[in-house]
Amino acid sequence: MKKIHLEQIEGKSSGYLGLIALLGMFILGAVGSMLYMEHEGHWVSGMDNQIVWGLPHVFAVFLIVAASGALNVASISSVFQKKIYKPLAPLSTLVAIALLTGGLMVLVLDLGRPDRLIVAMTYYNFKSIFAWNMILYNGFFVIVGVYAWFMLDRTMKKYSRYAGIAAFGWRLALTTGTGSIFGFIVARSGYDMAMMAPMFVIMSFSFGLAVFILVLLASYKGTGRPLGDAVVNRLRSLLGTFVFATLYFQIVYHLSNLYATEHHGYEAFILLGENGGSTYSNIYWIGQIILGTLLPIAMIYAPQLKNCRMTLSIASVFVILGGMASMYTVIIAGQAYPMEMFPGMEVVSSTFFDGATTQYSASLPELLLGLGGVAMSLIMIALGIKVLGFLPATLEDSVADPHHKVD
Amino acid sequence: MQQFQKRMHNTLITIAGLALLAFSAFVFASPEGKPSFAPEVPHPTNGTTECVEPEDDMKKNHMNYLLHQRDETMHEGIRTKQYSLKECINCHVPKDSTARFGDNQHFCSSCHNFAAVSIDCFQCHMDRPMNKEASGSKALGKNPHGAQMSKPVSTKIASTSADATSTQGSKQ
Amino acid sequence: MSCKDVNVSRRSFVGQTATAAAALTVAPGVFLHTVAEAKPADQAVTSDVRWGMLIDTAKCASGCTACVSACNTENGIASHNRPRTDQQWIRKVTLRDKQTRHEISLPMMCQHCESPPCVDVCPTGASFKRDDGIVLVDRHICIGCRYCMMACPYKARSFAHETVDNTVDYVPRGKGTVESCTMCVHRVDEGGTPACVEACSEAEHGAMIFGDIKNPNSEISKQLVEHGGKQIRADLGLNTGVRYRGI
Repeated sequence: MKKIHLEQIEGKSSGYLGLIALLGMFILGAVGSMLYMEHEGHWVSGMDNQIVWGLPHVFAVFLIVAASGALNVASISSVFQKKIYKPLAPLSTLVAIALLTGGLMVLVLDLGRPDRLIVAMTYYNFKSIFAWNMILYNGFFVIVGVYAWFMLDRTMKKYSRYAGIAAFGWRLALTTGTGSIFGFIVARSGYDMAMMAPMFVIMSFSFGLAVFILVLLASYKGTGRPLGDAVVNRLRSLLGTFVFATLYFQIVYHLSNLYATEHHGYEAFILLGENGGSTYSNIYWIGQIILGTLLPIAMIYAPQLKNCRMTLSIASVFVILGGMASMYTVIIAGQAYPMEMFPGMEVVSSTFFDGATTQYSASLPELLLGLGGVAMSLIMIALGIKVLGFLPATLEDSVADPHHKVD
Repeated sequence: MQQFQKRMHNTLITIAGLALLAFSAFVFASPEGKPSFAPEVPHPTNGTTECVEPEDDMKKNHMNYLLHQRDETMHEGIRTKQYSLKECINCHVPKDSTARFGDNQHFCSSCHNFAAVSIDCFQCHMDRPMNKEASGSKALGKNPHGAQMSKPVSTKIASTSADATSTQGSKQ
Repeated sequence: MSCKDVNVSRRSFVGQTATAAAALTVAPGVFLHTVAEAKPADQAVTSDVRWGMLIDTAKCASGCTACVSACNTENGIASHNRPRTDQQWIRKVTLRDKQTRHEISLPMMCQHCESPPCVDVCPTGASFKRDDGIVLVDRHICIGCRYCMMACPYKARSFAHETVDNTVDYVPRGKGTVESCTMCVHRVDEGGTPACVEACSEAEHGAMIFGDIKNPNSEISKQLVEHGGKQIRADLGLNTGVRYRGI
């Protein structure tokens, strides 16, 4: 494999500048909606005492989970020594950091007291997985930054493998921590499950890679640099593997829950839409399963579509949409299902909606905040490949493929 | 020529420094010992002339006293009145004050506005003494039998026969 | 009574017995105030005391909301006519058993658990348990992340969704932080009783008792020994401070 060098993109075309401007507008929209929600109070959002984490958290958790997954490409190159991914590793670290920044931005801006971020950084309750997550998120920035530096600095290059191993371990801890935010909650039927953590890890592989593929295809198309099939098809089959893995976890999750009678209520809620759960059930089946899992598998493994990049792009978009649906199901449906406070009894009346399924409708400020986070991630990637120049100059087969045979 | 310029330069700096010193001495050496452009901090109207600590100590350390007290009160239930924010307000803000925190006439913001130090105490705490008649039933000592809560009160159920025959039928 | 007094008049004996019988019947409805003295203001609370409540669902009247009104008045909680986002520190819940069709009603508030999940999950430690068992939110360090609201098995916590127009100075509350029943800690620290308990007995129901459950001589401890007291969601093993009879 020939030596590949990274090159800054020119970044002067009207398309590029238009993209930056558009993303900037979305970010401004997020800031505006955050100021509105913070000034008026959260009653203007769709979140209430029943659904305390809403659409912003769906976006935020998706971005954070995808961030750790986007690092996978770099990890595979450093930890598992797969040469074909080595040129992509710096871009992978950029995407990872950008996605995490976007996710954290949404999370922090949605706090009831965002002015107390310093308090959050200085007062720690170490029994809380949330507190551990703060340390993991900040550490991720540092470790991935160091990893990127080691990869690019000629004098430190020999240590890049160790940095890669550290980053890989850290990112697994981070995603485990994110999944455990939900898995450690004993109060709600949809959570309280040790499997949440590994499920999130596997989902991160899938979502992160989907985002990375889209970034790669878009930036090479946009800059006109050559991108060979060897790289693309390796990524394609990797994505297919990860999507299969998420399907496995879904099957195990639901089979386990169906075995226990006490969980039947929640399973009927999600799978069959009973007890007011029809919206959530639709989002689960159509969004997470069909759009997010089955269709991408069909598109990736269909022999006729083997080399089609448009198919891969669409499959990646579907995986992302399915990922958002799975976050929606976990976060919102998990809260919408009433807590089983009085087993065997039904609630006749309560002023606090005990025993009642909550119907959640997201408000515009929440949507803008979430989209602003996505825009922040994308703008960081777009500016990063211009300023830092993490994009390889060429990834055509003759250069990138380690097994390329000269005809 | 260079020597002359250098000397001139030094002289000008010295004169400027002396002028600044004179200016600040003039400004800061007013009778109360504070600058003439300092804010007008309203004094308590309930007759008290002394704060819980000397004025200079309070100016420097009131935030530390409050910070320490809030943790003691919240986490340990220590409700001494000396550094209690509620008591500060009860003394320093007139009962029917129309000035709210943020106005220059309010005791806390008269100085905090000037110093441009933002505080978030009054996003939760009341910035003026409570109108006790208006709301809240916490006039400590209210219980259905009218007895003071702070005094030992116990109501016995007449559960033993000895109690039953000795009671005159009145409950406390 | 000595032998000489045996010839007490029949009328007075009957009178006294009748009064005793009346006292026995009315006694359970009497406000049972068990706290002896307030601790001195400069002393920290200790774990020698654990505050708890016992609620008898049989005495809880289905349509009565005296406890809720008293709590709202005491703590300055105003309704904004937005039930989904309004703060509710205590609420009345009416339940019906699906099999037996038996209905009960009870007030639901923060259960002041011994192992509170809300304390475990709070990232800054703002949600904490005092040594005397009362679980509180330190709103000075609460960042409003609402994780405790996710984690509470009793849905006891509310989020201040709008600016709070404070009307009481002894319960500071503010927008953007989480709040819940404090067991009227401002009263308890001075030897008082929570407003809800007081209101329940004023309304002549007497369904709620408050007291020190570590003190075997307190009224609540005696009632617990005699009648038992179940926790809601006992399987979670949280050892709540609020116990119920009749669930």
